Amino acid sequence: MAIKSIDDYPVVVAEGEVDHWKAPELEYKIDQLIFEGHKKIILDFSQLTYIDSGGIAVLFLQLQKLQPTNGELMIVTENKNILKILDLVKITEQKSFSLYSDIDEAKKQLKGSSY
Amino acid sequence: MKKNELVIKADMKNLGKVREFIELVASESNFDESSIFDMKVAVCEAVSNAIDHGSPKGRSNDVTVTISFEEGKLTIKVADQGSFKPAVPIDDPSFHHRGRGIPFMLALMDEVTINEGKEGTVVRLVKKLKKVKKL
Repeated sequence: MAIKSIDDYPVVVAEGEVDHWKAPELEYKIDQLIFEGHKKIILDFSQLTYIDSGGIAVLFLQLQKLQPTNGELMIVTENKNILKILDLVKITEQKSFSLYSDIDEAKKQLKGSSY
Repeated sequence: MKKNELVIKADMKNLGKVREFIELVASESNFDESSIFDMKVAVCEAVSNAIDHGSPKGRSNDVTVTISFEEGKLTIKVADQGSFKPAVPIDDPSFHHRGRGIPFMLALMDEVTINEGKEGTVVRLVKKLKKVKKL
């Protein structure tokens, strides 16, 4: 898991699996960007193959931190299993959450906004 | 009836071993990739709960995962040495801590039973093999 700068946008890239063991690392990476003042945070899950309630708990926690400043979690994934889990918990219905099929689509959304 | 057993120490870092075990046994039993994913999540939820709440001696406690396959279904049992954690609604956005484990198990498996005994809790999870239509 890493924070990568993609075309000057900071992106949290999580590959492989985010379970109860790895979830604190995801929380820490997102915290770093929130601490730096970023409101809209891209999570690149395009190479993520597994997430469970440990990872989901982190996403809900970070949404709560971002909501007071009209921030947003922008998740990039097309993985059917990951989408199934996100749908199950209805996080996709949250105001501060958005979903993208690729990183370019997410970046387009950021252009012109303060991120 | 084929039966397999994995015993791990009660430590979250061992969850990967549980998923490898599920992958191996379930793919040998001809489950598709989506069903295998469902089982990995459900079993890891049960094991995580066992580590958090069913292991009074911490990492020195064991969690036992047993898998058996018969009559087109995989039965997975997760046994610990403590008590189970109550569930919260799976889609409760205000709940950002753990506790979605049981709702995940119910959503992703065909049968879920939880038996709490004096010596620990046994979670029994069943996944049925999907019938493939012949062309």
